[in-house]
Amino acid sequence: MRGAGPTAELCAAEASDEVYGLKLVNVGKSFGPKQAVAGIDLALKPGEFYALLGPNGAGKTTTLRMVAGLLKPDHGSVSIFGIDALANPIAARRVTAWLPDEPMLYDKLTPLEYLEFVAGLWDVSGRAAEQRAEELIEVLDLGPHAHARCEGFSRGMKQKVALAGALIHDPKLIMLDEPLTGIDAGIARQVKDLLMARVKAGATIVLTTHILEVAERLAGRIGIVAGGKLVAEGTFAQLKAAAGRDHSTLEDVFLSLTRPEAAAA
Amino acid sequence: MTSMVRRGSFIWLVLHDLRLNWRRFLGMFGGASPAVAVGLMVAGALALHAVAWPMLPYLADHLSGAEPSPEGRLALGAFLICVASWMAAQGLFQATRTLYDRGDLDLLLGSPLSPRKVLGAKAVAIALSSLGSVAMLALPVANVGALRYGAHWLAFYPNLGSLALAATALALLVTIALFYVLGPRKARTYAQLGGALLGGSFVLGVQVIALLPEGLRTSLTQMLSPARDGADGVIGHVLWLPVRALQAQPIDMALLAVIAVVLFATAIWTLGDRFAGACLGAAGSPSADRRAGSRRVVCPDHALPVRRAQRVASAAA
Repeated sequence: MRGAGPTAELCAAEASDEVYGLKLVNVGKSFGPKQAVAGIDLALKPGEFYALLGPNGAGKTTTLRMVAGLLKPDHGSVSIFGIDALANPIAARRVTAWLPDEPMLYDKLTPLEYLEFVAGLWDVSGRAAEQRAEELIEVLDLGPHAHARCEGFSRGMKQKVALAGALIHDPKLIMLDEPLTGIDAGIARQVKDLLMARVKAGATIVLTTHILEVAERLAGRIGIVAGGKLVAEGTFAQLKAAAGRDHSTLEDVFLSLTRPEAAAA
Repeated sequence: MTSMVRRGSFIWLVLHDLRLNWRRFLGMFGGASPAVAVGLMVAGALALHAVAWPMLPYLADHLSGAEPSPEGRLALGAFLICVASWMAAQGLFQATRTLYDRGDLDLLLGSPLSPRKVLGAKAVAIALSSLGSVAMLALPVANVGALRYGAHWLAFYPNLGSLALAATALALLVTIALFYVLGPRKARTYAQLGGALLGGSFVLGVQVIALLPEGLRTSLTQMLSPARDGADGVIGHVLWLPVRALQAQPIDMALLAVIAVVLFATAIWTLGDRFAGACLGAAGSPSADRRAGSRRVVCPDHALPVRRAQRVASAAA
């Protein structure tokens, strides 16, 4: 369990040249006078499932967008599986997947066409793309809709297609912004199983969620962001201990760290 | 068709955009089958050709041939200015929409493709769309002209293409320059205002010429018309280049095409990274603004509004 700022772990990793799935050092971003992210440090290992929690406007999405190369940090460094993402963004994007909270799907394409297109963007060969698309469609139970255009799909269906698109190039780092929002329990289970399989295969996953149960059950470590800073980080047990609430839920811990007045009331 | 070209290539991206636009266009026919939609389009095109047919004798008298009347040449110049300004306006609107509405830009810019390639494909889509908006009305005239007076009327095709490329390059340059000079919010407003004024000039330009007093129009005609002895001078030669190209002068057509392609390629090459930067900049603050109105906090199974969550927390304590 640690607060914001460089840690002994980070320093040790630097000394031993250990390759991290994702390593952020003092990454910050401001929009005009508003400081969205105020120098975040993260060090995630390959095969780690990490949940980033925080209230709206805390800086979670901005942090992930900077890692995905969709925002340029004002300062700091981003390393993805040993690749300096700021110096070599194209190479970093090859191993990265980013699923935003409101994923963009082409309404006029079918899931198969969409997956074929995304595979082309990541230069996945035709045969491999076809095989992975078939696997993902089967795992996510998209088979009956594989040839229907996405324009009539529910939010959950769209989320599944977008997730399949994010995974089609077999990324090493997977960042998911609210992937389970608005989808039913059955679909959520499929998504969780798929993500856990990826973690077992060595991928690093960073997930933001409003559903604390998901973070509690899936994530090995949890980071809590407030006001653009990483205010706490650790396993669920470590967070409970740090909050002095050994028998409380993650929700209580979360509120005590981000809204102490609400938790104390 | 996208499977016939190398995946991730520039042409592949352009074809992807064309496929989407084609499907959107078919969608405008309210669920009709592609065959029915194409049939309706052919019928519409034939109707426009039928309208163009009786106009041609008048136009041919004034505009056709290697040496049209000075008035005809002036009218041709005015037509080209209107077409170019209309295309530039369309380009401004669409470049602004591309920057701010984002659409698939997160997906494309988050992929390993270079921003130049992404901007290039988007720019070609903008140019084609601008071309389409003019071609629908202009090309029936060219086709009927070719049928009745000779193949040189088909010069409309490549020349409108050249104008579309040049206008798109200009629109991208203006949009991205406004973004960096004025900032995201003001740039959007000014680009849209500029687009509206340019688009309006299509109609206003024609009206102004028609309303000019006869004497003034004659003086203008004499002043603007190329010298009869062919001694236009360098500036005159450049200014009348598009008109001569539209009159199917081969060297001028080639020159116009080369200038347009070079302008377009230079714009893509020099603006690619700045376009990506502008996209990322445009994505920053509006997103934060949008979310500020729906502040929610977490609960195990669903999100609750802040006040209710606080009440729940208080009750639990």
